[in-house]
Amino acid sequence: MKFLSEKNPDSLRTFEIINEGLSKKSVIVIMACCSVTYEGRARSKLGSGDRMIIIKSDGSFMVHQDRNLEPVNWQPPKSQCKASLKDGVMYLEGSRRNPPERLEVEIKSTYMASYFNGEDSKGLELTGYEENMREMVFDNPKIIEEGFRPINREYSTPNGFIDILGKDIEGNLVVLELKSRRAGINAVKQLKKYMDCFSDHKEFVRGILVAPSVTDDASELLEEYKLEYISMVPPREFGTDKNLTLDFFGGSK
Amino acid sequence: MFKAVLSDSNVLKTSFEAISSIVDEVQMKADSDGLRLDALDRSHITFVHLELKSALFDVYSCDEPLKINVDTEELMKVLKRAKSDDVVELTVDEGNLILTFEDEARRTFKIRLIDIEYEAPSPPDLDYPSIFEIPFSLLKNSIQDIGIVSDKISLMVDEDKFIASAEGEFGDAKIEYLHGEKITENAKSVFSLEKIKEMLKADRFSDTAVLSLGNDMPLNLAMKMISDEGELSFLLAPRIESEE
Repeated sequence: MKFLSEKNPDSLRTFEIINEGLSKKSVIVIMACCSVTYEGRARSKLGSGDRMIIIKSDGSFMVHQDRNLEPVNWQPPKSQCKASLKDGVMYLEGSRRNPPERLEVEIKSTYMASYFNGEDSKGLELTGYEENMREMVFDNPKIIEEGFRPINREYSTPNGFIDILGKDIEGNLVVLELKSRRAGINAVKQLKKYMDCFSDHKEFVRGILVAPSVTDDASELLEEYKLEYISMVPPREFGTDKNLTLDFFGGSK
Repeated sequence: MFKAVLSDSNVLKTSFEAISSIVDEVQMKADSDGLRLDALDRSHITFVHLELKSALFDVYSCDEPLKINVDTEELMKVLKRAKSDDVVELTVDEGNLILTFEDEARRTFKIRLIDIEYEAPSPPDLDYPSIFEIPFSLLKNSIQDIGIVSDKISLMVDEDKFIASAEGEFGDAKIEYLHGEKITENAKSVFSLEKIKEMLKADRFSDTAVLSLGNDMPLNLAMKMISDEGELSFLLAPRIESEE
């Protein structure tokens, strides 16, 4: 069965549904009146209230209140989840041995208990970030300027990693700092810190901030530090390089 | 009753090094012919097939067909504890897979079976233009060479040579090997290096690997034991430049 859901199950039935879901490695969703205690790196206690409890197949364990994006209490993937029934009261526990920590939910009454075994083979594709700008520069260095040649990425300096280190047409070293959003003075300061690492370099080193736009104070600071700016919008298209699936060749599950 | 005894623990250990990095859960099927397993990774990119015939085992008995569903990570944790000269015994009781390692002491581990509804995946049935054999170690080394420059690898075969190559941002790498086989059709496909690495964790199964290649087709990598008593094979979907 892919999906099972029951309204107002008693504590014994809730216990059964959760155990079934756990042994099937399902995603379990419970709406219940519960209280929560956590003990581990710190301690926390949450009094009785109506909450949504989620246990995912990988052992992620979350208790959500009726507000906020983040769960109020949670345990990360690979937690050991266990249900137990003591004197008619249902307990749900998520624990880890390293670091030693334990989240316990006491379920007072259940409004809904369910489990779900879906199929999901896709991963998220992302674009519009610095990483995508970097690929764009490597694929087409001309967009920086004619003759620009990238020579290293994530070049390590005592002040952090340089996005792209390259050379211009005259052979001068060029330090590129990429920002996918409007860049402020912090971006300029960051670029300046990388430039400082080349202060004993004999030849001239250029520093270029690459971003869709810069703030006015950042623009002034760039001038003061004798750094350059190139306007570039991160790509919004998804990559064309894909891993096919075996389904494409007629495999089935 | 199911009981299987293997004097060489490496077969299981090396197979599950690869299998556990590809799939989280797996169903092993045992019957009078032996043990077999078919699994597809979550992203539907890699398919793995393991078959250990009853003749491979020192003792093998299985009265009725049996399905053994396990968490591969839990199984691997236990298999890691086996020393190469340990005798391994597999049995099943109500709800557990029991592994016993025996040398000067008898060490028993129980792994809880899971209750997954498992439909064995069926791999695509493909006709390959080019099939050839190469030493396993050559393949493993090539992957490490390529890893220096790229996260993708192009595998190519022509009349004379098997060529593994990659173009990176800062350099290229190419490995050429005279295969000495009769290949009439050239073939080339590109694969994710990370996915190939997962398969190649099974590096003690066999000294040779049989590769089947086509153009933009899945890679079939098969490893057979000399006596034909065991086989571990993989199917890996290729990477392509799509038009979208």
